[in-house]
Amino acid sequence: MVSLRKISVAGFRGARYPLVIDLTNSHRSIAIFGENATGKSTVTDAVEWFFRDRVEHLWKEDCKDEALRNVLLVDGEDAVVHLEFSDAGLSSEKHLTGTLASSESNKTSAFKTFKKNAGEERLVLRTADLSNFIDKSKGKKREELAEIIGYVALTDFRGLITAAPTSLQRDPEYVAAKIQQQIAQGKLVRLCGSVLGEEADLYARATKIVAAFGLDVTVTTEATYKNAIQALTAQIAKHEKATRRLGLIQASAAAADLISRVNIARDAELAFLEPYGRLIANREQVKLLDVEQFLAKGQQVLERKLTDPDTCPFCGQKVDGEHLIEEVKRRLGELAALQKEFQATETAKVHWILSLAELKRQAIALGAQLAGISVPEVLCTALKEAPATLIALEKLVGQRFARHEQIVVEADATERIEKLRSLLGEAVTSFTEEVKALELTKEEEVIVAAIQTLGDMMAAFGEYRASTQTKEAFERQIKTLAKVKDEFIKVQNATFQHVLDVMSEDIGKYYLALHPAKNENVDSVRLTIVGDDGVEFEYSFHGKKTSPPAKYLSESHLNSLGIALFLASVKLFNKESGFFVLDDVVTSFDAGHRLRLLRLLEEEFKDWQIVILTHERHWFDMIKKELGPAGWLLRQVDWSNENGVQLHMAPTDLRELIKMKRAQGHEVGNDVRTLLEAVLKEICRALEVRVPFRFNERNEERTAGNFLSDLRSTLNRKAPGLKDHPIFNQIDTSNLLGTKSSHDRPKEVSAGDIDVALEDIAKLEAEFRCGGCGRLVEAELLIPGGKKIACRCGTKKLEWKE
Amino acid sequence: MAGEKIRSGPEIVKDFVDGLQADSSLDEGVVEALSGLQKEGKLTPTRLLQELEAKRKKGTVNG
Repeated sequence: MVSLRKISVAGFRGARYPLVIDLTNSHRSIAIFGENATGKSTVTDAVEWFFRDRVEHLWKEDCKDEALRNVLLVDGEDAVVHLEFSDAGLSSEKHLTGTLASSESNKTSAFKTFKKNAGEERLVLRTADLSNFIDKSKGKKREELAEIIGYVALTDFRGLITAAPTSLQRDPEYVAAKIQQQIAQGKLVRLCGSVLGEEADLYARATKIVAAFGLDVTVTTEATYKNAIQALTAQIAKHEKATRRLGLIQASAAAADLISRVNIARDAELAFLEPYGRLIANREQVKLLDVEQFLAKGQQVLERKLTDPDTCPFCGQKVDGEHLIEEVKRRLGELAALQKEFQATETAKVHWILSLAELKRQAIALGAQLAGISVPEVLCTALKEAPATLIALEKLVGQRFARHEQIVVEADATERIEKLRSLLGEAVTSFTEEVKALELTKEEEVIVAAIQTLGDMMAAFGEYRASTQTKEAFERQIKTLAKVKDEFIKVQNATFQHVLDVMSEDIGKYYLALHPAKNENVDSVRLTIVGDDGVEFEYSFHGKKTSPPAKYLSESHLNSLGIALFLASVKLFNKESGFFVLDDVVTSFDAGHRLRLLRLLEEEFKDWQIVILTHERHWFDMIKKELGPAGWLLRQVDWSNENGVQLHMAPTDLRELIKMKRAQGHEVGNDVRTLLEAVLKEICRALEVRVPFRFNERNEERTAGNFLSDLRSTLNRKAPGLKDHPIFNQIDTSNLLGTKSSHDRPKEVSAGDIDVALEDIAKLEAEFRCGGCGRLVEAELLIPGGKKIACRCGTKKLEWKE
Repeated sequence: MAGEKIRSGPEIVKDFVDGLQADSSLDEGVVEALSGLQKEGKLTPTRLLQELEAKRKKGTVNG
């Protein structure tokens, strides 16, 4: 796993000038103290923005990129976050310009993968996050855990196999097959008195019909069925006359059927066009329908995270992804009634299209049927032209409906269909009259009727079988998907509960480490699945199983639960990042639990790199004692109007800051004063200068003047050789310059004065600092018998009275 | 227990889909569609419906 080597932040949030946290060397973890409002969360914000391109607590308040730039930055300056990692190839510098364009210096695919994966991990825990999860509904808890665990793939798969059967049930082909099957069933009932479910039933029925005419034919296949019809036909003496009569009867029935299909199609047309036309006539509604479709598609894109969640997939601008989804949902909710009305017209449209398709099929079939019968050419032409007319109409309806445009059936098309209906009517009349003319004997009529029945039975059974096969194919898929879904839910719940059990073991352990059960009667804390879609904490309270946490647990306990959940998630699911940030997480902790948290981190997370930020001085002192010996880096941040948040600086850092600010033409009086104080503090510490006692934070309020006076007093006693050194008077003057500049008269101090002050500070330091090892001479490094003290390497020496 | 491997979401889905092939009560076409698309990393609602339609048209659904 990757750990942090350096965090550098400049012009970002509270950091006006570079805030550099160097974690190289042996320092793996760091605790940073800063009073309230000193901008220490700048570090957390920087880490979060670096990986996620957003800072959740700001984005929630609709404060976005512009809130990331330090307010004192000018347009030409960039906000910069530079993170260096243990794997140097992953280090990158991220800039945010005055026009809020961001860029990253590392363009490698390895970095992109690392950033994406680490960005999805648990990197940051803030005070506000502690109760967030606990306060969520059971369903939201499950959703969030699925994301933490990386089980979104499961949620997606479940959604897929849940939605697919619904789509199949609405498929027009399935709807048409069900209708067709019913129609065919009706025909079979009329013809046979019952439904013929199987081919064998059809053949048995045919065998029975043929047997009534004394023919010894057993129908078992389609071929023998046709043979049976031929055998019956052969029974008729006047063969040709009977065949034509039969053909006319069948054509007449088919033509009558086609007329009824035209009527059904016309009815369906009216049932669709009237409400659709009314809906579409209102242009405002049309616009809203277009918007609704856009939003519905957008919702899919956003929820499936097909694009960067924080970039609007339409305009490419940075947005708050979650807020955008919520807004889209809200607007879709407002449009739900209109959408329902539109869906009703869509159903009517499907029925019309299906009726046109059936009309087309039967027109083609009748055209083929009439080929063997002499009929007027005009009818044949009308039947031939009908499919093209109907296809054009279907196309027109599909296109205009998709664009929410008015649909007007062309007069030409209407005319052709009406003409077809009229010709069909004439044909039915003509066929009926001709049939009457073709008188058959009673016996022949019975045979013809039987042949006709057999033909109709075969056709109806064919329709029944085809529609049944289609319907059953759909239903098998629907049934299978439903079964797959049921099985998957079991697997999903079992695996989810398994992960919850694994997590719960750590959560329970960490929670007990913070709140030992023997003291507080809370035990066996775990996460468990509730209902179909929920997750909740469960725990034993005074030996009784209890849920939810808020029922009995205090705020401090709930916060502990939040920390335990975060730490368990880190340990189980962070695969890329070997570090995490705890930002002021003990704010509402009982004092008694803070030390326990440190011990927990020390025992369970010693291999992790932890960044702790706190404004609790007492806790910071505890960290110093508990974790300092383990190699933790301990730093403090300060804040000033001019410089924003800065690490409490060593003189070297201050000199760098002064150099940089002067180069930018900024005032540095305050910084010179701070530098002098820092230098004097270090010298006083090294020489064990005695300073008057002061309580607590007042101890930190000593000025350079105080230190200088105390230093001179000590030197007078211990190093009389230095007491008259001119540097002490000079530094006194320089201190005055710093004070003047830093308060109300900055303009009275020239750049030259500042140069002199800096030279004086350097001269003062040079009297005590070794040019070789770079360390100060120290009172405790007394040279035996030599009445001198020295630096660590022994090169720099100072006369010193014991 | 905390040290044991937790399978990822995609791994669980893959194992589940693979396991469907052993269940003869399921429609072969659906299982083939899910399995094929899952292997290709194309398991989306639209593609699944297209694949199911193709299976129905081919008549590969079992009876």
